[in-house]
Amino acid sequence: MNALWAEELSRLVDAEPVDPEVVADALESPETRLLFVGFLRLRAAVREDRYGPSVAFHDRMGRTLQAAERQSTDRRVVLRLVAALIVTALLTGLGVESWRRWRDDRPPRPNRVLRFDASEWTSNTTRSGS
Amino acid sequence: MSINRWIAVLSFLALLATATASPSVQPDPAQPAVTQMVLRVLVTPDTGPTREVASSNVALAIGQSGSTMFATSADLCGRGIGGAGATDHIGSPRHVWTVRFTLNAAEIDRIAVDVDVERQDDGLGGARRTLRQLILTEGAPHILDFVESSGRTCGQASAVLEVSAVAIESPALSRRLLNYDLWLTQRDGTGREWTRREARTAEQGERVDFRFQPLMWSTTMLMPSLGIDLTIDERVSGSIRGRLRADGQLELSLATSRRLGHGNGWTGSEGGTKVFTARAGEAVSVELPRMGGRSLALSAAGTPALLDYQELFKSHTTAVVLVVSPLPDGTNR
Repeated sequence: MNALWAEELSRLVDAEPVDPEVVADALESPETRLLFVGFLRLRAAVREDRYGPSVAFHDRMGRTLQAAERQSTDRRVVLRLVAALIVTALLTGLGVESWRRWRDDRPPRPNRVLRFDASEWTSNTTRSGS
Repeated sequence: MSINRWIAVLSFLALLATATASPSVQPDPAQPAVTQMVLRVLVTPDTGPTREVASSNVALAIGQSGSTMFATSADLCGRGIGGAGATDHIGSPRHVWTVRFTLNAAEIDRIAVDVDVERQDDGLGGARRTLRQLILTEGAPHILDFVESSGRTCGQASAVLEVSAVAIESPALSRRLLNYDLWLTQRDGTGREWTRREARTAEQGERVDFRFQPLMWSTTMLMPSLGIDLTIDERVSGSIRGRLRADGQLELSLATSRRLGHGNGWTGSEGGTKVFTARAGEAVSVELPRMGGRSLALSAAGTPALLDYQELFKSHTTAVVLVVSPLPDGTNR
């Protein structure tokens, strides 16, 4: 087989620039025509080969990615809840402490009110100057 | 040893023997004694301070009577105190007192007792008898009688007989501690309130003092029309005695006094004692009477003016708010 013809036909199949005279000469040979047809079948086979990830793979990956995303979302929610709880606890503590201080600074509400009777109270008031 | 020294030694031994002599009381096991009546004798020498020389105690239940005696020689040198026979060694002429107590009521700081005093002075005719119906504050003395020495053989000038009453604490409660939370509150007509606080802890029946931080008042704030810019100092102090009863109620005696002043001038003092009962932890407000008194002050122009405290504080209400809480048994002070 003429190697030049085979190479030229391979280029033709690959849609590369070729010398038409050389291709014409190559196609005159029956052996070379068979080679050319073989090239075309191989190209067709390659073009039809649509290999990619299977549906099961897609499903599995989808579930994995969704789980990871949900886990990340859950973690953010938990962190926000913890932060909110800490802030609430701090505010509650401050409020309770303020209330306790306020309460300690205030006299208790009397359950009963008594008064000194006149007989129980003596005044020794004087007039004095300054 | 001279005869005079023998007499002095015998008198001293007799005094020792009689100083703790039991007075005459009819025991009543059904009713425990709640009050101890104390007869004290104080002697003032020609020189030196007055001092107590003899005392006798009579423990009484409510309604119970008991008596004690005191005798002294005319020169006040020989003395005997206690029950019958305790005064026999005092030779004539002498003064003899027989004091009979009858306990009518015993509340905190209000002990009602009849005191029947019979005095016999040798050479001065028959006995003199007086009956007094007393209401005594715990521990406060009441003078019963006074006698002057008729000679100066041992340097004694006079003697005073006084009586006082002391509560006998229940053994189950005698060691209890009471916590006193005291508030001074003063509110004006608009409802604005000023407060001071003191806390005390004392044993059952023990009187404990308190003194609030002063309240300071500006005359400009109290009465702008007065045209005087002064700071009035209000000071409230007092003492409290509490007693936990077996039924859980508390008997309380609150003594309070108040002074008002500015600069170096004060209105004098006013005060009183309130006796009441309360539950443990109950907040009781005891309102003080309206303020009174006047004092002279100088206006900004140098004109003298009269500060009328009743007018200045006419819308104010002053009170002591008290909460008493018995501490648990075994609490350390």
